[in-house]
Amino acid sequence: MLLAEANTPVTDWIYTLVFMAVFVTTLMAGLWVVIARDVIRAGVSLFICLSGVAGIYFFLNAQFLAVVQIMVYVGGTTVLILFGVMLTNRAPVLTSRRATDRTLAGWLATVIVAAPLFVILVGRDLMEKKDVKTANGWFTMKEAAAQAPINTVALGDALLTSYILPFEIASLVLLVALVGSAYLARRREDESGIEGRLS
Amino acid sequence: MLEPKIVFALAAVLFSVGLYGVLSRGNLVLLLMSLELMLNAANVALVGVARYWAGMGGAADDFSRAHSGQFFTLMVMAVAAAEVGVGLAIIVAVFRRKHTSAADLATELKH
Repeated sequence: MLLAEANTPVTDWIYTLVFMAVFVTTLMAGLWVVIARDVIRAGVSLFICLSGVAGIYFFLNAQFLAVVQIMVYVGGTTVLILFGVMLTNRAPVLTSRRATDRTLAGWLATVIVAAPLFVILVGRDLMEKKDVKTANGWFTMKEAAAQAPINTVALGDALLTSYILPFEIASLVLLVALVGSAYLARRREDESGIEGRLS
Repeated sequence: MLEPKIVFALAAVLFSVGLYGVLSRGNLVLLLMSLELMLNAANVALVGVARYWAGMGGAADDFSRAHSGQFFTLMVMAVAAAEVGVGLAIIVAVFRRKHTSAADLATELKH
């Protein structure tokens, strides 16, 4: 990272500020995907959240993945999902119905899964009675990790040498998924769908 | 410099939120969105691990260690793209047949 290498207080400060902005935006947008009652709103906040994840990738020195994230997720998946929203919601008010028992089950399962994650993350620092600000890995690293030898050229080399087989299998999976989804979503003659009735 | 635990905390929060969404939303499209959130949380964790694992000692192995996490993320992205395509096709097919996108109403395979 250029900014990190410059290492003056001002650039450090700007770096931290920009990271916190991206971080908070990603977090809030991710929460809003689940909170929003309107399907379109959830879709747009998913768009913002995925863009924020691309920003996090930039900060993690994974520039190629950030660009792929923007192209595949932000440019492809979100648009596809918005298409899905428009194709499947004919009612003027696009709200989702929510059952109370399902919400309760969701909370329960989420707590069961999330609690161990956060116990692992926070618990050890708390047990050793460390302040979060001075604990290793939150805001400072005792052993600053050396600049990783990650760059796009090396990743491309790895893709076409060590990882060539999974790379090809992935392309095959995408082809099969393309054909399969086109087959699933085709219009059948015998079906009395809304499209059939409209035409 | 960006620290590992903040990245993992972000991944954990996004994953929990996505899990809650998958379990509690009734609309099929919203369910798919929450699923995307969970996949992205896993991706963030993978890239974070790749970033911090790469810098830790051992010169000869650095190359593969630095890239395995990013490569995993690429594969997850490819599978996620396929999954969204097929998932939306299924949702559209269900909607054509039943004129609704509520997950509770697709119950033919239940008995």
